[in-house]
Amino acid sequence: MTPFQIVALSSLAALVLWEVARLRSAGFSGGSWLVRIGVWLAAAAAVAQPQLLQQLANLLGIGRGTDVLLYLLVFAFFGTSFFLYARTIVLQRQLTQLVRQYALDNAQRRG
Amino acid sequence: MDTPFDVWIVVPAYNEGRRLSVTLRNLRRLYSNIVVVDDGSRDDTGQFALAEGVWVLRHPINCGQGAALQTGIDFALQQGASAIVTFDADGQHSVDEISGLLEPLRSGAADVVLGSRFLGRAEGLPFSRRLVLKAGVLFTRIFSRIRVTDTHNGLRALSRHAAERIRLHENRMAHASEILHQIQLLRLRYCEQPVTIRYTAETLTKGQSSWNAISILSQFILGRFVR
Repeated sequence: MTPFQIVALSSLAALVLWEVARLRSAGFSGGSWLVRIGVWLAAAAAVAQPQLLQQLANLLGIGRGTDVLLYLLVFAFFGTSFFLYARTIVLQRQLTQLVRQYALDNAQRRG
Repeated sequence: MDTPFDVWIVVPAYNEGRRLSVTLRNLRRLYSNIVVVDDGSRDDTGQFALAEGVWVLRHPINCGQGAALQTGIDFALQQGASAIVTFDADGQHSVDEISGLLEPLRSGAADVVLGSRFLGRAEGLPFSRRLVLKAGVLFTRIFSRIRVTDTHNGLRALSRHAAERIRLHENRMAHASEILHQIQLLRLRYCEQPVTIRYTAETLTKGQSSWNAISILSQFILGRFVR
């Protein structure tokens, strides 16, 4: 095992343990937990057995394992960007409602 | 007995300062129900408005013109408005043209009356701005399937029926496209009235840059996907 694998795998193992501990204390709260743990496990598999990515690349006809990773990162980037954009818009709308209620409650007119 | 036809004028204002006083004085000549929504101005816009004896609502932070309009519309509805006119703070609209906008509402011919500078007059409108506005008209025809000649005119009149149904979610400038989109979606009856818009060096500096059209367009499209 290379030094990188030791560091990366122990960090990922810590993350998985943390997710499991959180699950035990806070209870299961929907699909995002499964997605997160799936990502950590997939990362661990790719670090431990780098040829797995290469095999996946061959299977998909992409060529190199690193390209598979690149494509996945690009998808993840766009997905995350849109998710965060949508969250920002929702927060902005909630904030606007609050601001509006404050303004309506404090309407003023002189004289 | 006829129910009174209560007209409310909603003026969204952001850092308008003294210029707002002139607009409000002109409005006060003909209308008594005026509400200014001070959209988190960093100057004394709110104080100038209060000095003119109109209702003032203050957003503690700047939310954008769309948000300010919706706040003003909500207030006017609470006060029992029969019709609501939206009027820009910078004095580019003409107060005398409001009555023409209200006529189709009074007669029940329309739920929304939209001011159009391209049916009326646009004084001092630069060529680049004209081009952007025309592109907006084309976009609205394709995207919202509504045929109007001027899509981003701040002077419009809504019946109570329309104001209760239209809900602006676009806080910033994309609200103008959003109103048109909702008119079509809610099947409200609308018509256009010629109006005059007077551009001055001041209104052009403060107003939207033509490049902003791209950001407005993307806000409007992306906003559709967020519920």
